[in-house]
Amino acid sequence: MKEGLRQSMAWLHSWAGLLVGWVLFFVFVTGTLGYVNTEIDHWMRPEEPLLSRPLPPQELLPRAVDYLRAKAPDAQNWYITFPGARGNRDFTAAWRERPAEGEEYGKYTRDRLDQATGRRIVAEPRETGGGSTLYRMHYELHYMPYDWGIRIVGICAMFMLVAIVSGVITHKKIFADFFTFRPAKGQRSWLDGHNLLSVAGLPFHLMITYSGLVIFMFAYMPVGPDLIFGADQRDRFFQQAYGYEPQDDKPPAPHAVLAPIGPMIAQAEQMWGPGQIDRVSIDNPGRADARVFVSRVSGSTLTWGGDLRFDGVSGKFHPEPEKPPRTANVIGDVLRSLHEGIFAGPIIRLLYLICGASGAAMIGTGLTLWSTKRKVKLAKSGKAHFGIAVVDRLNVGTIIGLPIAVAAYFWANRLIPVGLEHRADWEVHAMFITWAVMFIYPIWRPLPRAWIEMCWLAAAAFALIPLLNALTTDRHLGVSIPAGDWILAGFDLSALGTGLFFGWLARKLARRAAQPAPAARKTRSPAVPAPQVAH
Amino acid sequence: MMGLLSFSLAVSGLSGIAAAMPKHQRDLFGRTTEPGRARASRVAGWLLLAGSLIAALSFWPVSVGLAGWTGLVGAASFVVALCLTYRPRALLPGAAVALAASLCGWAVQGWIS
Repeated sequence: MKEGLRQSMAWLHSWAGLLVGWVLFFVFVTGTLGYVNTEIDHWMRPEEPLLSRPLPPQELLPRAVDYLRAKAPDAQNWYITFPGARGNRDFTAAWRERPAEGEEYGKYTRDRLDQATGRRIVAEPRETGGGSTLYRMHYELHYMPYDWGIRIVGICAMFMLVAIVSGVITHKKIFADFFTFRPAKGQRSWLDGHNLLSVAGLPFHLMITYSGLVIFMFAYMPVGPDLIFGADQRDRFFQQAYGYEPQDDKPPAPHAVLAPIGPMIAQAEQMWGPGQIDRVSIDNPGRADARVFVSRVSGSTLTWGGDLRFDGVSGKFHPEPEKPPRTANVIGDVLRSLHEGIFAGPIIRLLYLICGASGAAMIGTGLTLWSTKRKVKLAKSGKAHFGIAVVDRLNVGTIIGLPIAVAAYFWANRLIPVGLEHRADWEVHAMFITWAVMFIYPIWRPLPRAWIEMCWLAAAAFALIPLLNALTTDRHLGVSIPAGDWILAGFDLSALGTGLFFGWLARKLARRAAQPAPAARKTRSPAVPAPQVAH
Repeated sequence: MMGLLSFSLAVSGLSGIAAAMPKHQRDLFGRTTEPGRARASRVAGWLLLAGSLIAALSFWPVSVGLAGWTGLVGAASFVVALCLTYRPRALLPGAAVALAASLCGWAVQGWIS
């Protein structure tokens, strides 16, 4: 190797980062929003009732059991969820019927119940993709088959891992510069900012990239199990690795009276304390082999498995797990749980949001740095470069354009008529049409102007969301705050905060652009007019 | 409250570690300090950071606490870095006040319950 390790790693870092940076920025922005997917869902369904204090499980349980007895007395499974935990706003009763001849799974139905009466809530909220659609985009993208989406994201994530490791090697003084940020020094500041965002969030960035790859490892590396077990023997591999059991076609056991479930959840409450019961699942209700599982709300460990198991006929508690957990399962669960923040309460969820946003900012500053660095070199030679102009346009179209597109998604939720067919699809179309426009717009504008104008647009698009909400629904801040629905109010206030941030950014960029580039300053900030390129 | 305590312990600890670095001493004190004092503030910084971990582990279950603490320290290092840039003189007094306030809050909470 002619060059030193650090130079070659710097080369690897900047090109691996550039190549996939735009996709990764999209993945980080939509993935970060995924940490608040159910909160976004709540805002995007303004027909749903405001959050209210849920009734305790002991009171709700008999209503759900009565409902399921009437609806599906001989189902294969019953599922009852109690409202209260995050993402579990509804009191629901669901069931899966026994599979019909030749089917693998029976039909699944889920009904929302009124807490006071136990009757089904018929009114459906507007059709919307909600936060869950944004969340799904971060691993399957959109407008393409699932298998393509996850593979494209997977390749980008592998590049990300390369960029992280090579970035750590390239970074000259990771500890000496740990707290260093020198603003208003052009390229130097971008590098400081990029380093600070990367190093402060390094554990998160490594964890999120690696665990994301592990979640899809059999899609990304299918050859191993296929070689050993054969490509058509996937099921057998998963059985051995994870202990998944194949669906058995046993005839149902004879009828038996279901044990009362009230004492079971009382026992669970005694073990876990109040407010810890998330749901109750009943296998084979009304049969001799009935079993009842009481599940705990997430947050007590990084793994799943807070289930208590009871015999569904005798009501006897079985403290030992049904089958010992497998190592592969536990590792997979922990990585998945870390990636998705399943265990996260409000504080850790906020930290996840901060880390995710710092990841997006790290990618954004890295992309900007790539072109800033090259422009400094070019400015010396006085040449303009088409490739850099393209990168610059893609940068502003992604870094500012994508947030505007996300805002458009929220606007579409409020503005598209409720009865429109394929309404949820049109919300997504609105997002991507807006994003496309945001890529086209900077082509005709001088680069610094494009940054400033798009920042102002982003500021308006977000800051006006509370107003839009007030004009189109009766779920505005004047209602949500007095009612104590902080999820709804939090969405409006976060949108306002995001708008203020972009406004601040726009003003900062505008002030920078208005200053003549000082002669003493060797480097140029990206807001200073770049060499113009003819298109 | 314990989460807040863990966070202010992390900010104080990282400030202590920064105060041991000659580069930041000029921002913090206007001059570099003698090696003995720098070593003392480095040791104090790491002890406060350890205290932050203990607070996090008593607030959350162990596995959750380790993950949460990692995030807390990341956020704290961001706060310290920005403070060193824009309000260097306010960092150490600010960290001390935050720490004292969250300690008081913790004590009051313990006394009430």
